[in-house]
Amino acid sequence: MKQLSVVTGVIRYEFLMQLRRKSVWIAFVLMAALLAFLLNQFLALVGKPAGSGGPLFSERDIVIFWTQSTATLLPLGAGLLLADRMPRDRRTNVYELLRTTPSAIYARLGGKYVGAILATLIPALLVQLIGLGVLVAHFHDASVIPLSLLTFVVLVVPPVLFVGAYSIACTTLLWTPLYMFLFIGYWLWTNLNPSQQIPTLGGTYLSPGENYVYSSFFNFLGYRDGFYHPAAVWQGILNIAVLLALALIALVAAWRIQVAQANRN
Amino acid sequence: MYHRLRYEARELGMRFFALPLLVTLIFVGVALLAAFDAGRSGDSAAIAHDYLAKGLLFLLEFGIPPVAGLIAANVVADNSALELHLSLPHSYAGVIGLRLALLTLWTWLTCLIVALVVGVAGYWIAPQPAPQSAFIWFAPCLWFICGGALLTLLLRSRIASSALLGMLWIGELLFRPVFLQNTALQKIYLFLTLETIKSGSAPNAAYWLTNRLTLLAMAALFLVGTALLLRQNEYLLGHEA
Repeated sequence: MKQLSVVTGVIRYEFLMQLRRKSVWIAFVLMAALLAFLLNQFLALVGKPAGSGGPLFSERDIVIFWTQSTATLLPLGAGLLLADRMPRDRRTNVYELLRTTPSAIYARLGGKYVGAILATLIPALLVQLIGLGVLVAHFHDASVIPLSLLTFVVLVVPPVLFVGAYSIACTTLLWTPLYMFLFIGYWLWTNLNPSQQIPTLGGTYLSPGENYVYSSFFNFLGYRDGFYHPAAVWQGILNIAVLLALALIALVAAWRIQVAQANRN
Repeated sequence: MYHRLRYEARELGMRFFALPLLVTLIFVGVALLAAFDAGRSGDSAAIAHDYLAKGLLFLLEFGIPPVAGLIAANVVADNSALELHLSLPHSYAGVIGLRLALLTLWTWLTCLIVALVVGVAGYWIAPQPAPQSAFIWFAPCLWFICGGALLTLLLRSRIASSALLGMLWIGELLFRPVFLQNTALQKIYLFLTLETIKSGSAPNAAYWLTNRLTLLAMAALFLVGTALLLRQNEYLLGHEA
């Protein structure tokens, strides 16, 4: 019970700390500007053929395209912005101070993870909602709202939970710029088209690109050659479950490493 | 001066100099794997050669420059004795400037050696003739280094600066049609050389040199901004954004 109050306290503290960082908002605003160019292009696509002999783009496709753009860029930003949570505690010597308190390492780690992730998801959600507002105004059709919100929950939130866990876990050991380079490289690699030259994690259950979710939940096929293949709903659910399980593994590993470090000191 | 440079290099730490080399190793490794995979799956030797050549061009324009930017973003913020340093007569801007210059020279040297080796080995596929071809890595390196340093100082946060550079890095590549189809944005697209090769989406683009000169002009502006901010002691002591 005591640790529960530690967890809620840490969540609250980390949430507010991350939410009040101007840099988090500035980063998302600048990325929103890049995404605005994309949204403008998507709006012009409705009713046009997706390729030679392909289906015509519908409003529903554009809603999913919009989430696909946010899901490609914003989890990357979230992962990078979360990469200094552990190193910062060490740099400011707060980590040592907190270790002298009765709070357990797992409670502080878990609280930090949940609080920082929740705060990072808020600007991402706002970007998504602004884009959705533009789409609703352009289409004069509010029926796309539930679809857009659902796409955010299943296509943006799990990747953020996944990358956030690794950003917090890996920087327990790795030098932050090195982690960032490896993470960015991984993100590019996993977003490559699986049918192209380099073997990639894209299109597998391990990929935060969630190709199975696009195919099975939203029947989103045929717009990028070789990218999406027909899949059953259980495959989409498995894709999300694997990502969440991998996030849990990263957090447990970070917890064990921190316990080992505490025992060694 | 030699001792001074040696001291600053040691202050920066080996890891700052090792990261561009690690990037080189990883890109070369992935390019070799792609070429090996092409050879094994029955593609012609020309295709395998093309994969390796493309991978090496990616390293020069897309690999080393953004990583140099990430390092620069950390170099300008990596000073735990800032208050003490600002109280000394020795210019803080001069010290950070020297460290950034060391990083820039090291990055250019890495790129130059890679470019020479690629050329000698016969894997050079960029259409630009020498000596203009040096702009392939020279311009984006400078853009990322000066941009990373300025962003860190403006936001007073190395992590926000690094996150922005990272999102630009991947965002520009993944959404490159947005940049290439817009006449203004194509002049500031950071990885244009990759699109100017035969299989690219803008083969032999006439605006390539304009693009490089624009990037250099932007880098010069970033540098002026960085120099001005490094001289504002009160600004440097402000809180992280």
